[in-house]
Amino acid sequence: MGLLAPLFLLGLAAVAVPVIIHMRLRHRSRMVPFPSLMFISRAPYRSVRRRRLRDLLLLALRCLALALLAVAFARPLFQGDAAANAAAANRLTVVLLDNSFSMGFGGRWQRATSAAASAFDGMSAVDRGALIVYSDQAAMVAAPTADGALLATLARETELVPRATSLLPAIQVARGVLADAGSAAARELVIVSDFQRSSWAPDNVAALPQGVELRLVDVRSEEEDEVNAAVTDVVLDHARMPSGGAGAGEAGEGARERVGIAARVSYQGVGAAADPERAPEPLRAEVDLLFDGEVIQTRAVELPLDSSTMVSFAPEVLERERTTRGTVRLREDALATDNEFHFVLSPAHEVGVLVIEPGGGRRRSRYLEEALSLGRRPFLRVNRVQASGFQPAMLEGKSVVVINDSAQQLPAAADAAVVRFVREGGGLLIGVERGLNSTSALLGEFGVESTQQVDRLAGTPGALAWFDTGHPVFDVFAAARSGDFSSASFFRYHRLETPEGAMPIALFDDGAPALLDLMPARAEDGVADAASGRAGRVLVLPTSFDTFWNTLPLQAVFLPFVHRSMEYLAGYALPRSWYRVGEVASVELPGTVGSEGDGYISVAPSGRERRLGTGGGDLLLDVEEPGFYDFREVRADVTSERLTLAANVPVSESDLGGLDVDEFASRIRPDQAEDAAASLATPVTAEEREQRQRLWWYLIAAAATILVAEGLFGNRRRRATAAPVVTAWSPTGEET
Amino acid sequence: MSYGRFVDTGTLSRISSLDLLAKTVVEGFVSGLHRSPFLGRSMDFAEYRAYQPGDDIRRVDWKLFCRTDRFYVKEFEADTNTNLTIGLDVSRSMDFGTGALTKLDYGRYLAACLGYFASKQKDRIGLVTFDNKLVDFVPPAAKHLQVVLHTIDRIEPGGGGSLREPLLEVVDTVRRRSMVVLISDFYEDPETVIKAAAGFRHKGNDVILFHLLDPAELRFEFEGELDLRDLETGTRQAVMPDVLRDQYLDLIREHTQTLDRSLIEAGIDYTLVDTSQPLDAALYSYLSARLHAMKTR
Repeated sequence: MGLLAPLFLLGLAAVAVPVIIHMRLRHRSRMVPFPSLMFISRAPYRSVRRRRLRDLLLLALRCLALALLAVAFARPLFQGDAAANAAAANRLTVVLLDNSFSMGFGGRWQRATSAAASAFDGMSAVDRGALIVYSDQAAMVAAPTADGALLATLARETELVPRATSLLPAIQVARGVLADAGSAAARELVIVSDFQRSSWAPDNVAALPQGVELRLVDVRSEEEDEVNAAVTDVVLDHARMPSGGAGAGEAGEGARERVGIAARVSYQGVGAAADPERAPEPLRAEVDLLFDGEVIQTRAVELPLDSSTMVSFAPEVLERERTTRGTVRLREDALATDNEFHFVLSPAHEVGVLVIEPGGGRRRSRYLEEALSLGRRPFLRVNRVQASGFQPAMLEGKSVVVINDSAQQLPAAADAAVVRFVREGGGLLIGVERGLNSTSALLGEFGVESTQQVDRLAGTPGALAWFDTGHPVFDVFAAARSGDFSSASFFRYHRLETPEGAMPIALFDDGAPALLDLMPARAEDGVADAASGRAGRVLVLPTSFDTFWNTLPLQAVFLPFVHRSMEYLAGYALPRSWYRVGEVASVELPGTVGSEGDGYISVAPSGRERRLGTGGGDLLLDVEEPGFYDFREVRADVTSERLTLAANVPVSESDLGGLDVDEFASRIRPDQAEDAAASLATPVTAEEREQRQRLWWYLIAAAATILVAEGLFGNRRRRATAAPVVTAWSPTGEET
Repeated sequence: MSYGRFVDTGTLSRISSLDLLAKTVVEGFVSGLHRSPFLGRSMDFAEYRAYQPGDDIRRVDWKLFCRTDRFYVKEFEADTNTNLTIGLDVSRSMDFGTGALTKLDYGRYLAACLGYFASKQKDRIGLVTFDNKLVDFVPPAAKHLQVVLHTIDRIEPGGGGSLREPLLEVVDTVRRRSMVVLISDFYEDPETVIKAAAGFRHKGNDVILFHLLDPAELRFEFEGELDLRDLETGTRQAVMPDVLRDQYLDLIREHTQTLDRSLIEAGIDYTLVDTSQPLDAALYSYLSARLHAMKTR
């Protein structure tokens, strides 16, 4: 218990006022001679005592009310419980122990656990300690406790995790713990880490509560060479092996897939600081390529320090309809965790594309078909047909239909089939034909009208002035200088009216739409799923896909533009060959099997199993271990395609380059008032504590209540005293 | 009644001469009455005077005629009807009064008036004063008015204590049938008072008790917290009158009613006198009692 304004306790002297008044009034009781107390003594005089007791009660109430008022004005507050008071003389030690996998280098981990455990040595009975283990995320292993032995044991039993390092969130967690113990006499934060450069961004700034002593324990050794070789990346180059007789456009039919594999091997670090004269030796090692655990190729690599190289393996032919687990493995070194890189090789998906072009001997879709034939991820299986020869059955197995310059030539039945195809989830790309002078029936189905044909043969030809880099079609061109559409000239095009609900995703320099997405909401969904029965996607280009009206097919951007358009229209998402630990993987599992069964179980590389759910579709999985995750049906009697996910350690951990510890310490500043987050960690002042407790309010209320009660009680007594005496009798004996 | 209220207690308190006071009160009181039916003849010889025509020849003293050969008629003093013995309580409790007079003063005036009045009636007058014992005793005699008045005049408040013994002693002082007047505040057990009064009565006396109480005793109209001190014993007691009043009034009412009821049953007159009231009420009570005595004798 404390007081903010103890001088107001002088007001307790006011308690003497009612006491003095009481004493004076009591002494005013006068002595009166009376003939005889014969009758007085017979009358019970409890009333006199009761009156005195009532007087004393009133006196006590008045004194209590005054005392409460005086104490209320002194603004009392509870300083905290006994434990907190005891903590005022204790010491709190918070240890941040880095258990990222870079700590497994050499003898760092042993030194780290020993240093963390020793930080809790010498704790007295009133001291407390807390252990926080962190990598790219921080976890409180032990909340503040006085059990130093337990803390030391927990520190020694902590295990490394294959994750990256981030100091900032760990310091923020520690700050909260330190701030909560604001009453401790001494607070210390001990950070045990190898202080990798990657763990601390140059612009990071952390704050600690005022008065916290910071101690940094760097577990790097000056005796060791801090060099590390790692496989940091793998590049996969899928290609189709043409099978016998397959011509252009039908290359995918029955073709097998060949994958070229190249692995990036890095070799970084510094020599031992204790012997600056001796330079670390270059890396000489063998790199193995493993498929499903078997070494199928080996390459020798020699790398000087602080360099990296791509190690290429001979292309391998993938088996059809089978997922292959691939691993590139480097020889073991002081940090083995990053010596392997895992990936998954699965046959590339095929997307069926039907190109409809106008009749005649000339191939109007040559550029388009050439661009489509180069697609690898996914492979685009292209079929071409003239408008006059179009049959609705040709839409079978197709994901995208491209109507190039021939919409007006399609028969009505074909229009209906295409519309139905779109409504069933298919993609449609329309290149508006040259001869169109009024809206075609097919465009009319989607509400598109052409107001006029723009002829820019004379003067400056038209150019693409703007495109939406947020749209999936153009997102690959978002980076600077990654897509130059301005070099494409548009001599003629149709000025299309944007129907309601559609969105132009590219504009000509005269403001006319250059590419219309008639169903932009589909784009926001990200992935179109034709099998789901949802409505498809439609893009309208107000010109043709040949060089008769424009030069777009001659530009470098044409190929990625066409490929992205096909991927968008087909709702195709490139499957990832690997993930990094710490990422959240979106796993696409066969929904039909899952919906009938009991869902899937993920099996981590360590063998740990986890139930993923009962439904099919995409599921989210926290990638926590490097290696291969397997997914299997819960129902043992159901056999399905093998599903595998590859995971690798964060590449940033392979770089053992360290921070300048002094510079790092300088980036941790004491709490400032303007730091709102840090202010939360500021120890609560007595004024704040008093304001929160507001004990004065309760005291005032109690005093008011007592005064009211005293008033009622006193008035009642006064009324009784002042009541006229009505009982008397006359000398003749008559009562009056 | 038209006889009262001619001399109030305030006026009495300003009359220093007890003789004059008694005369003033009684003469005033008597002048307000009709002709008294209680005046008798005296049998005591007073003087001789020469016979005058018209005198009753039965009153001629023939022996003196033989010696002197003249006719003389015997003159007799009025005959004494009865003895009046006044018992006055002079205990310390009587020395209390919240008005112009204390109870003792009031009792003195009452005794003086009764003595004067009795003297006018040719009664023999005696006086007994007592507190916890007999203090003064003046035997009844026709010529003792001045002695009685003098004795009354020099009364001082005595001690306190029980009235039992002195009352019994007063009974012993009355040797022939007479009228006994007891003036007291009777702070005593009613049985004791009744027993003493009955003692007078058993001797064939007519007894009248004047119970003097001050208005403060009758109404107890004190305010505030008091520390009451007993005049006789000196003991003190703190009281809250507003709280105690009802209980006190109940007790003293019971006391007076017990006395009244028991004394009347014993054939004894009892008069409760408020000392703030004039003396006429007390005198009238005395006259009523005396009339009653004359009729029954």
